[in-house]
Amino acid sequence: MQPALRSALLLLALAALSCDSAPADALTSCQATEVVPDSVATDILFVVDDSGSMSEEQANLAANLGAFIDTLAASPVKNEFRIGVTNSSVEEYTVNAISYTSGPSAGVPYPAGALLAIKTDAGGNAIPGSLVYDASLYAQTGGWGGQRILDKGSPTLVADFKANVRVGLNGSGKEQPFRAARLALSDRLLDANKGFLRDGARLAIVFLTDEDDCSDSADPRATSNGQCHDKAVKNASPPVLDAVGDFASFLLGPVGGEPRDVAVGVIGGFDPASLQPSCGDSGICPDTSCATALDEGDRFTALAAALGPERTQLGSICDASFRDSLTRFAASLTPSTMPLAGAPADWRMLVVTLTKASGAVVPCTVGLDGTSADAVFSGPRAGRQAQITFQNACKLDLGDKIDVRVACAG
Amino acid sequence: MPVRLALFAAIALAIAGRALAADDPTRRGFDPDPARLALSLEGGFTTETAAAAARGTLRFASIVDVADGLLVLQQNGQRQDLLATRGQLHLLAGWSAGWVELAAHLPVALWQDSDFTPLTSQGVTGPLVGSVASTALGDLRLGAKVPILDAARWPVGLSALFDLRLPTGNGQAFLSDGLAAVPSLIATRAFGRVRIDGQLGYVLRDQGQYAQLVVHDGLVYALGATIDLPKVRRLDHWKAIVEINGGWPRGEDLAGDRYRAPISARAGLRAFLSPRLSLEAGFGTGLGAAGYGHERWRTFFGLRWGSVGRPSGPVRDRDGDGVPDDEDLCPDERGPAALDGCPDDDGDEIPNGEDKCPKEPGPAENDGCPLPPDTPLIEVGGRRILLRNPILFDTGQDTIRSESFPILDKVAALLAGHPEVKRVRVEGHTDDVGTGPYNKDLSARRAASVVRYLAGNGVAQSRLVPAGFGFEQPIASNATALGRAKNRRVVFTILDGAP
Repeated sequence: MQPALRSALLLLALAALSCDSAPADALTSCQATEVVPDSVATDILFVVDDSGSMSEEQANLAANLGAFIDTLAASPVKNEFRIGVTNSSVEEYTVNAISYTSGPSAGVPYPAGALLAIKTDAGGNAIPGSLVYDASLYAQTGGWGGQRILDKGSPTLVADFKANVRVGLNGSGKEQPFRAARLALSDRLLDANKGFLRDGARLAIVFLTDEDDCSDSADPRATSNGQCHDKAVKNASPPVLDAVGDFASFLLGPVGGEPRDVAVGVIGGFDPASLQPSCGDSGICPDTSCATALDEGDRFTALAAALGPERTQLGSICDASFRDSLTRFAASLTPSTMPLAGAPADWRMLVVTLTKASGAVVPCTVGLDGTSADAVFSGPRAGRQAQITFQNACKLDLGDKIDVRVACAG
Repeated sequence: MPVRLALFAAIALAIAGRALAADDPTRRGFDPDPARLALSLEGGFTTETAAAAARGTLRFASIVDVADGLLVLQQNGQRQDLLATRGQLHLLAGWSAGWVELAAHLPVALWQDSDFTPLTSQGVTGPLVGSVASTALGDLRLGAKVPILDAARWPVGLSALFDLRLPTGNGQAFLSDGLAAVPSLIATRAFGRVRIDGQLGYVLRDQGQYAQLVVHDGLVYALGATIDLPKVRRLDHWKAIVEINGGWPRGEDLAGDRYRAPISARAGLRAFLSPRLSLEAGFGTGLGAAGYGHERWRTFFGLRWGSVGRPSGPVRDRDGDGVPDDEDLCPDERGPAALDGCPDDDGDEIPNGEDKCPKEPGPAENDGCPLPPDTPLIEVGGRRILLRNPILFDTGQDTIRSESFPILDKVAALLAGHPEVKRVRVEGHTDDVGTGPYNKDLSARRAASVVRYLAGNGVAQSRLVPAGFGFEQPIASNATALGRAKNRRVVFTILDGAP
C-alpha cells in the first residue's frame, strides 16, 4: 500500500507548491467595502454687463450670490468649484476705444475677458466699477490684480464674489458678452486668466445683461446701439455680428486644451414667466413684459438652442430677485457623475444607494448600459478615473447622500 | 499499485496544472456548506475511519440534513442571510472488498431558501442576484479507500482515500464545486471505548466565487471521536459521535475576507437496531459567525442498512468466512480470522477443533471447558489472583468486553476488602500475532484499561501497577488457537502484602 501513501503525499506537495493568485485589485477585506468618491471640479465664469443701466441688477446679483454658493455646496457629489468674474467690455463702437473714459477706473483698459477683482473701501464694501489694475505691479497677469480666482475653500469666497460682480456702470455701451467670454477662455488664458481653467474641470458660464449680445470681432461692424438692437443686423446674411453658432462650437470645445462639460446660464431680456425674449421697448420687442430690459435676448436664445436645453438655463433680468434663477443655475451644475478614487475589482459587485434629504433610501441599479441603469458605471480610461453617472430613479438632487459599496459575502 | 499512482498523478496534474481562473464575482460554483459526509462504511458522520469494513460488506445510507445560515452578505458590520436554510437528502452506498472500500454519495437539495433582498433592495441586479434553484442536485462523489496500515498490527491504522467529485450539481444554486478531487490520509486509533479518527486531505478544484469570496484549493481536515456507549435496556450497540471538520483555503491569512476557512462541529448518536440496520441523529454548528463553512445550526437524521454480502474476487474462500482457503485451517467451515477461519460454536475464542468442550464456553486454562460451578470467580493462589475466566477484550483493542465486568468487579471487591494488599501488578500478555512493539503497546494499553476500570470501582490507583509484556512471556504454544487464547491474558500479581 506504500504507493498509495506516496501518491497522496505527492499530491499534497504539489498543491502546497502552487501559489496564491489573488488579483491586485481584489477586495480582500469587508471592512473596506465603501468606495471612496472623488470630487468634481467646476470652473465658473460670470460675465456681467457693466454698461450704464446695470446698477440695480448688479446689486440684485450680489445679494443672491450666497444662495448660488450654498446650492453649489449642497451637491451630492463633492464639487470643487471655482469662480471668476469678467464684464462685457471689449471695445467701443470705435474699435480703438478700448479703455474706461469715466468712473473710478477711468484710464484702465477694458478687461476684454480678463478676470476682475473690485476694490473695497475701509469698511470692506465694494466700490462699484473700481477695478484692481496696475500695469506694472501685476505685469504678469496683464495688469489685473486682486482676488480674481475665487476657490470653494476660500474663507472670503462670498465676500470677494459679491464685490467682484459690482463691475460698475462705466463700461462699453457695445456689450459683447460672448466675445468677452470667448477671450476669457482663449487668449486671456495665456496671460490674465492663466491657471483659471483646471485640467478635467467642467465649465460653466453665467451671463448677466439687460441687452442682447453684440459681439462683433470683425468688419462689417455694428456701429451704434441701435444697430445692436436691430433684428436686421442681428440676422444679417452674411452676418454682421459674430455668429452665435461659432461661439457655441467654441464652447463645445476643446476649451483650454480639452473638451469639457459645458453649462450656460443667462439672466437677460426674457419674459419672467415664459422666458421668451422680451424687453421694454415695444419698437423692437413684441413681448414687453420685461420692462427694464433694453433689448430682448435673441442671441442668448439662439445660443441656448445651439447648446441644447440640457446645457442651458435662462432667467429674466426683470425678476425682483435673481435668487431663484441663480439657485436653479447652481442646481443644474450639480454633477450627475461621480468620479471614484480607485476602481472596484468588478462593477457588478457595486451596491449603490442614495439617501434623500427626507431620509428615504433609493436603490440604484448599476449597469454599463447608458439608458436603463440608474447608476451607469464606466471604468477607468487613460486620463480618466472610473466613474458613476446617476440618472433615472437615481437622478441626483441637492442634499442627496451617495453611498457606494462593494458587496461582500461571507 | 502503479495504476493508482498514475491515476493520482494524472488527476493532480489535470487540476493543478490548468490556467488559473480570473476573478468573477458572479461565478458561484461552490457549495457554501463544504463539509462532506463520510464515505467509510464504518466512519462517523463526516469523519472517515482508517479500517476498511469486512470484505463483502455492502451498506446504504439515507440521511436528511437541514442547515441554516450558509451564505451571508456582510455590510456595515451586519450579516444578512443570502442563503438561509437548506434541506438536503444524502444517498450513500458503500462496498468493501477488504483491501479497498468503494463508496458513492449523491446529495440532493430538497429545498433551499435563497434571499437576495439585502442586495436587490439596494438596486443590485444581474447575475450577482440571479435566482437560485430551490431544488437541485449536488455533486456525485465517488470514493476509494485503501488501508495502508492495519490497526491490529500497528499503533495506528492508516489509509488513503481518493474522493472524486463529479460536477453533476447545480453550481448556480450553490450546489456544485465543479470537478474536484480530494486525496486524503486517514488515521485511526482506539482508546478503550473511544475511537479517534483523523483525516487530512487537500481539495483540488475549480475556483468558485461569490462577490469577493473565493473558494478554491486548500487543505481539509476532520477529527472525530466515536464512543461505544454502555448497554441501555435492549440497546446494546450504540455510539456517540463527536466531530469537528474544516478547511484551510490556499492563501487564507485570517486577516482578509477573500477566503474563509470553514470550521464546524457536530455531535450525535448512532444506534444499531440490528447488525444490519442503524439509525442516527445529531446536530451541529459552525464555529464563528454564520456564513460560508460556518452554518448557524444544523440537524440531521437518517438510517443505514446493508448486509455482509457474498464475497467474490480472485481469492478462493470456499466457506466464505473472509479467510482465504490457503490460510484457513477450516476451509469448509466459517470461522473468524482470529481463529484461523475455524468455527467456535460456544464463543469462548477456542475453535471447536481444539476445544475439549466445543458446545460449552470455558476458559483456555481449562482447555475450553467450563470450570465446576462451585469454582469462585476469583481466588487468591500464592502471589496471584486467579480468575475463573480470562478478561476479554475486543480484538486488537483495549476495550474490555462487558462480560468481563463481573470478574473485575470481584477483583475490585477483593482488593477493597484486603487493604493489607499494598500493591498489585496488572500484567497484560498477548499472543504473537503482530509485531513485538505493537503487542507490547497493546498489552500495556489493556493493562492500563483494567487499572482504569478497577480505579473506577474504588481501588486506589496507587495500589495498581500496570505492565505490558506483549508476547514475551507465553504460557502456551502460539502455534495453535488454543495456545494463543491461553497466552492472551491479564494476570494480577501481588507485589506487596498478602491477603
